[in-house]
Amino acid sequence: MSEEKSKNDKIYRKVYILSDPGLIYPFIPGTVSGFIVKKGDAVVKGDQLFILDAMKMNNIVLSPIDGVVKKINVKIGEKVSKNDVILEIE
Amino acid sequence: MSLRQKTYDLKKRMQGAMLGGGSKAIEKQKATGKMTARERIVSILDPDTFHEYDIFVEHAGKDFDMDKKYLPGDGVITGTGTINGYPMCIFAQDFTVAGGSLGYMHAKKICKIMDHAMKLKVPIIGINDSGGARIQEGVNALAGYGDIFYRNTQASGVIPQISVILGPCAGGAVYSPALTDFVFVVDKISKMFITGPEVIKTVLGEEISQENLGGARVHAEISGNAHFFAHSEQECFEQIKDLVSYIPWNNKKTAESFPPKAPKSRDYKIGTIFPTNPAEPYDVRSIIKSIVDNSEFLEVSELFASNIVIGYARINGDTVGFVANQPLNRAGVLDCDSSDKAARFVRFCDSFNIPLVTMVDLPGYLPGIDQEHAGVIRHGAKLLYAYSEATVPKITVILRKAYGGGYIAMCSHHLKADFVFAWPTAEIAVMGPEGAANIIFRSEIMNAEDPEEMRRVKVQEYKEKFANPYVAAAYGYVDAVIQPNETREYVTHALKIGKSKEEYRPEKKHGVPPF
Repeated sequence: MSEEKSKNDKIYRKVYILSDPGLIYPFIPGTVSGFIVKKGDAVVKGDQLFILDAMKMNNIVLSPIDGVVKKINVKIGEKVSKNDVILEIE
Repeated sequence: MSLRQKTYDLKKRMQGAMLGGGSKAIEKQKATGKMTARERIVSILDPDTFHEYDIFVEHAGKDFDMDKKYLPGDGVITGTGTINGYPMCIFAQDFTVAGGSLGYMHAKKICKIMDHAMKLKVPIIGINDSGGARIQEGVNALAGYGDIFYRNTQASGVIPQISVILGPCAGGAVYSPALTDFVFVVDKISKMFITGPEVIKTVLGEEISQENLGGARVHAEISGNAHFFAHSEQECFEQIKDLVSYIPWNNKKTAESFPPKAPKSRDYKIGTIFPTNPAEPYDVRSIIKSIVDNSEFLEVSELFASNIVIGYARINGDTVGFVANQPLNRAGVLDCDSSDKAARFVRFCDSFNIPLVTMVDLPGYLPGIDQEHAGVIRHGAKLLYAYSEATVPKITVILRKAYGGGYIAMCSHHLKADFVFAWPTAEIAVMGPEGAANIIFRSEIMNAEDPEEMRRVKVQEYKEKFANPYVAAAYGYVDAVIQPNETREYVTHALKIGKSKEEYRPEKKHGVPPF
């Protein structure tokens, strides 16, 4: 494939990128009602991260990976929507 | 030749065929951590029960010098045996013979053993480990796939079909497992895709590894194609043996009964598992374990759409299929994937005479643009269809939340559940108190001096009046409000009473479910 053609291709095609599993988004919009971890904590897959109040439930969000909590982007009581990164694990 | 000589000749021929692709190819297979096809069959079946057929079948390829090649058994081993004493038909593709590629006679052998399984009315297990169609045999290879798919479809709902993916399974080959009832995968060994990474790269410019495209984890967690995930082949075989003990041989039989056992009440106490705060999540699997024999529960599709739990257990010795919302995950909502997963399970249980117990605790269907655009209407409808269609005994236990469309879909009285029990903690209403109060008391809240306070009061009022099982019980939609620790007793009784249930549907060729 020539370079020019592949450049053009990019306009039409969204190249599949695996999203970073360390960025934690809410599964549904809701309110963050509490954090179980804090910045700098080491977590393993399955550890509880924070509580997301949504769908009539205090949902406990679990860590999908092993790592360290690098950043927490929201405050307790804050409303979050689908595209908000709540916390970052590295 | 004397009989002795003839027997010697047979033995020699057998030995040649048994070697498969030869010691070098076997070594290569083992180096990738895989067992040989024959070892796999022997490990799944009861010791010394495997009887092999068609070992001397030769391939039918004529072109490209194929006629000069000898492919033992044409790359697939077929036969019969037993698992825990249950009769089984089985086939395993042999990767050491021409990459387990599927040619005309290879497919014929598979079709023959499938026809046997259908005639004998026993389950069939297929072990897939194949590079795909044997290109040299051209359209005959395609014909072979087509013949297998047709038989898979004919056998669906008549005999249980189990697929085990122990190697690559690419291209057309993937559709045979997809048509069967249970697909087993093993981490780092199973690979399934329609088009592999090479083609995807050439055609679309997307780069991805085989493992990330169609590895065991992908199919067990993301695509939902696989129902059982194991870390090793041996673990996978144990899972198969476990599953087989819960299902009948065919659709005219019921599953084998086992001696009844009490639940392990010390480990699984409803009182300690079930939270007092209705917004607090808990693991619904523990509730299931608290009421089933020996607290043993075999979960199906554990990693996929885990906001709904499906699986098998025994009550009083007999197999029961469980469908339960899982508050621990995504609040236990119904969405596209969970509806799809549960609907298929309900249809399997109905086909094979397995009574259904449904445990309800869900806030409803998941709202949102993603879900609506992904077709939550059509996927959600599958669950309504499957439950309405099912004629096996249907028992529903409402543990906590049962709101809106979710209440109806989870085998409510209206979809002809035979018995609906509710715990005193049940909340059965058209929608959640917050939403309902906002609509019903809209003007009162808006005109109040302190709207927030008014809203709080009205929500509380609604909660007290409607968030309970008694309104539904007053209309007879709930047959009995029971104490949580009476659940096993009530369900056991209902299963006993429902054993001879007969229910008929209007005569038709078949329905048109929202596939």
